[in-house]
Amino acid sequence: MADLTLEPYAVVQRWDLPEAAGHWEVILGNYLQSLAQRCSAAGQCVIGHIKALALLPNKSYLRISVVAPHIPASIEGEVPSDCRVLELTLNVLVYGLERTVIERITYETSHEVAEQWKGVVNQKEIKQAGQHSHQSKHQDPKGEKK
Amino acid sequence: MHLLFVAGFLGSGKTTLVIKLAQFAVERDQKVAILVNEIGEIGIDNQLMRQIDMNVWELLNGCICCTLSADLVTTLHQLDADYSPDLVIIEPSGAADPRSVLSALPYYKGTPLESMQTISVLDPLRVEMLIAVMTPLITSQIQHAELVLISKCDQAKPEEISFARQVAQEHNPAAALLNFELDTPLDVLVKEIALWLI
Repeated sequence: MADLTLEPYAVVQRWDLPEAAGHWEVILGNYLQSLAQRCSAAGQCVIGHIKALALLPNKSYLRISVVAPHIPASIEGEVPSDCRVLELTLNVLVYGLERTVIERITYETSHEVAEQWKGVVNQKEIKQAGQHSHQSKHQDPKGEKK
Repeated sequence: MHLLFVAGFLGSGKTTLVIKLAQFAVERDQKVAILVNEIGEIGIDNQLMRQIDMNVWELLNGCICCTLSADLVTTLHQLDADYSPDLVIIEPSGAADPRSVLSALPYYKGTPLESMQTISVLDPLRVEMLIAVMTPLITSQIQHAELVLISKCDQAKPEEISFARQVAQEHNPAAALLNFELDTPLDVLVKEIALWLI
């Protein structure tokens, strides 16, 4: 397990759920929890941090954080009661899973959640400027351990 | 200029702590700069900090301990010249080894630092698993701290907190230890961390 590699995955999702008003915290908390559970089921891995942020009017925000499949999501902030559309920035940091696997899990899970709530989720293209892999033992490009 | 370095694994509670400390300092008319390095293509923590009006500088496109040590020193020089903060809080990525970051700091040649402190945040809910599978990283994060904060004490079982304290003491007997939860009074925290803030 010591050579687990970290391939960060990030996406911006636009959630449009007509019936979500008053339920966003629960919906998105469960969504991130499901991501952690499905990542864990997908192979030998360590959940580093699955975190999401929605910036809301008047300096408010919703921040959701999951660190293990069995630990409930930590949720900070509140969504306005009439909100039905929300933009969420999501970072999935899981050691040991390829980025493509995390991407597929995120896509499938988010669409299932959106369908349950009779809505849609769209993913925004991200300029990938800083994609890199990161090793748990911290090797430099020459492969020498620091 | 005081420098506070907040280490700790991904999801351990670093950002929560940094925000609380920064707000505390700002309320006391201190000029605070936060330097954030996040792994991933979109920084979330810096967006959150900006949303609540914190002054944030981001170290982008890499990991602070692998490729961005030089950027850190350059940014410190810029901060010193252009902003003159009273306090700089550095929050590295939770995947970063503090040893590499801290070893870059002697290259900073700006206004002499009045103090430099390293805090490590340790998550008692996961420490048993993490110390087993991410041994070099977690031990380094503990070993380089003057203070180890055991976070999430409101969620952890007493035996988990006790184990986390034991791990911290085992790897860094000289470090101070403090249990930390979201409603820990800041005065208590600051007394342990940064007396000059009061």
